[in-house]
Amino acid sequence: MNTNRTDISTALIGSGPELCNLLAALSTRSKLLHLNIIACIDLGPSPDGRTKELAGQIGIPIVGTHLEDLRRGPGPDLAVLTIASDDVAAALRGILPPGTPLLASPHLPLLQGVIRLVEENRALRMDSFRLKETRLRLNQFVETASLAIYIKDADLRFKKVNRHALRLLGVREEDLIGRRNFTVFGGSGARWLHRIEQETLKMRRTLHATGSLPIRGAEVHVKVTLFPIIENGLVEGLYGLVEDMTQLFESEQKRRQADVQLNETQKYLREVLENSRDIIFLTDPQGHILSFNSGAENSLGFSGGEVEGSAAHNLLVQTEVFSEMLQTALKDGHTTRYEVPFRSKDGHPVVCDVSMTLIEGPDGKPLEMVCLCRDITTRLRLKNDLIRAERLAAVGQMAAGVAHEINNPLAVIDTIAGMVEETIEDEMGRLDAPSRELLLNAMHRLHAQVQRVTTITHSLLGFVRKADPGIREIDLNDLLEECLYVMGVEIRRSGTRVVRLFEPKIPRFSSDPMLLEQVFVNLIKNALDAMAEVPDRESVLEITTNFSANSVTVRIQDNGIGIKSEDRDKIFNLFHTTKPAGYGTGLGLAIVHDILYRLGGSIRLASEPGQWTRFVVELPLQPPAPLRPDPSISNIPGRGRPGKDPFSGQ
Amino acid sequence: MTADQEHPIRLLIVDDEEDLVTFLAHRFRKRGMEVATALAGEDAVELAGRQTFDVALVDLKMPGMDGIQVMEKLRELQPFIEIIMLTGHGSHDSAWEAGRLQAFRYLLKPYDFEELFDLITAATEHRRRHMQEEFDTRLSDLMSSTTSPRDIIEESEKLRREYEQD
Repeated sequence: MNTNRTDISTALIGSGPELCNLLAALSTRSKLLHLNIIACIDLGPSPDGRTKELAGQIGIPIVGTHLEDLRRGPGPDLAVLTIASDDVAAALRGILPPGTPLLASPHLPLLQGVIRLVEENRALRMDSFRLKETRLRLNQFVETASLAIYIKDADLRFKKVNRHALRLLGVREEDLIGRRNFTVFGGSGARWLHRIEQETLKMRRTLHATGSLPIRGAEVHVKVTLFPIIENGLVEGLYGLVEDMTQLFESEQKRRQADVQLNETQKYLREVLENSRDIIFLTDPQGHILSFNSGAENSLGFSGGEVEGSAAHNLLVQTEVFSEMLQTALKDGHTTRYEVPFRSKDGHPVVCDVSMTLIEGPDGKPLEMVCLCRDITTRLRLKNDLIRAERLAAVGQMAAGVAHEINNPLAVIDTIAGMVEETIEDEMGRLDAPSRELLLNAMHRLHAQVQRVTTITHSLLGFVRKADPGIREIDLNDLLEECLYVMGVEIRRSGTRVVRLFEPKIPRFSSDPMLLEQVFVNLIKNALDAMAEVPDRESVLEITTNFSANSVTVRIQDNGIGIKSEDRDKIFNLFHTTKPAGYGTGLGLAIVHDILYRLGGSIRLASEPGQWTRFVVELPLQPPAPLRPDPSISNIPGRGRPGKDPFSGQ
Repeated sequence: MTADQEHPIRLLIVDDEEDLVTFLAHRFRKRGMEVATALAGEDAVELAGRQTFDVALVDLKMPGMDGIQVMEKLRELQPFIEIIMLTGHGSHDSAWEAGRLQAFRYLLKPYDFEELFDLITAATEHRRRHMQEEFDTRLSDLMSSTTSPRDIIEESEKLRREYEQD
């Protein structure tokens, strides 16, 4: 064992377990106690020989069982005797060099005390070292932490700040130490921090607060934690921890904003889907309806509960169309079909453009089919109206031109026929009765046939389009009265009762009175014809006027023969007539339709075959844009209306 | 007042359709009218410069002067003449134009002969009533405005000659 020159060379003398324990205790602390055990004398060795073994392990130079063994080496600085015996002590003094201190019973506990003292001292030294270490680390931590830390005194002046705090505050240490908040930051931020710091000192407890500090001209959002420093019951100052929350705050705000947006978007999408006027429904890949939006409920009349779970193909008039679409969508992901007729609950036709999209689940298997159906029924009807109007216009233009060319020779034929007829009557005496009858009858027939052609050519002239309709202010009730006046003879002859349900407050509006007269005269004439076919019933013609915010309506209802449902679509077509040959030209309603189209209005019909027919004419209060009033015709003096009007096509 | 031996209806027919003019003239003459005919507007105006008519039957569409121009010219020459416009074409614009120039009626070919005949008679009556009213008004104006009886007699004689010549 290494020994120091200053170490105390020590001899141990004793017996049994007592010596063994002392040897063990001293040998482990020998360095601490600066002892160098040079001899171990066991006067009453135990049979197990443990003391000798231990001494050998330690490497004590003199190990023996007799006091005399001590003579084998230099005398020790100190002898320790564990046996309380004056004889042994006296013998030992005889062997040791004179003056050698002997630590023996009853002074042995002193050694034990020294050992404890040394040990305590050593522990204290360790603690002090650790404390120093901890302080150092703490300081390092404080200096390097990405947390701004400052210390203030009881007067709330800066005493110490770390690097991060300086960086955060954007000041130099010398500009900060010894100053208060107000000289560092201005305004409300300083007042806010000052108030919390005072509160911390007053309350003597840790406080947290968030707020913003004006730093380098910007508002920095911070979280502050303040600990009071209390020593010996006195508040000495405080620690302040400042966290820059700006980034956190901003990202939090962004996240919150994104959340709100996401929420809004979802809500919006849900509402769009739910409240869309389009028909939107979901089916499973087998085509069973999963959900049905309100647009679908409105258009088709079924409620979601009625159809959910049932096969969607039943919604279509041709069920196989849906099945074909389903197959295509499952294969290609998407498919579109145009003008697909749907079945509605009350049977009215609904036509849609349908697009179907496959939605796949996370496993890539077909999950749902989204069916988006745009109701184009109205658009289709308008398109058909337009086509019809254009066809009428084209045919009409040509027909009117031809009619004009026919009218002149017809006029000549009719005039000559009349003249021949008159001549036959004048020359009665020279002809025998049968010949005269035959010739007169022939002339009558000729005249009747000219009349028949005339009816057609005059009707065709109704198609002649002017550059602009003659737009004027119209009182609808007055206009209808005029039409009834024009038809007066026919109405009286047929014994028809006319019921006028005129709205007295009907607003005046702008339209072409001559064209409208043609419309209503035609409709009244049709009504009279329809009622004439039911001779055993009193004919009642009911004319109603009404108005809404942007239109006026005229309802003309008769209790005549009615119109079969299969004729209803064709009734406005050119040359379609249900009247016997020679009576109807198939022009009247086509012209009515054409005129109303040009005036921006519309006509609808409803009928119960054998019972009644009702035409409803709707006209806009504002004429459509291309129509302009013609100032040159706005002040025509009325000249009355003797007899039939040539433009009514009658 | 109807057409009679003493005061037959003086009718002018203007149409480029020669057959029509010929046979119409024939039939109206047979019914006691005095009929003049023209196959072009220019001829009609030339005739009206020499002769007074009660009613003119004018075709709207003619080569050269059309019906509207003829109507305007005839009115200038004979303020009381009544015009019945005829056409084979149903153009509303022309109808309104005819209305603006106060045509008595506007008839679409082929017309009903009896209707046309009645219309000419009615137009003649209208014209004569119109002239009578005009004459009466001017006479009463004359009576109230002039003080000298000699002036009144002279002026009324002038007026009578002016209207009787018609």
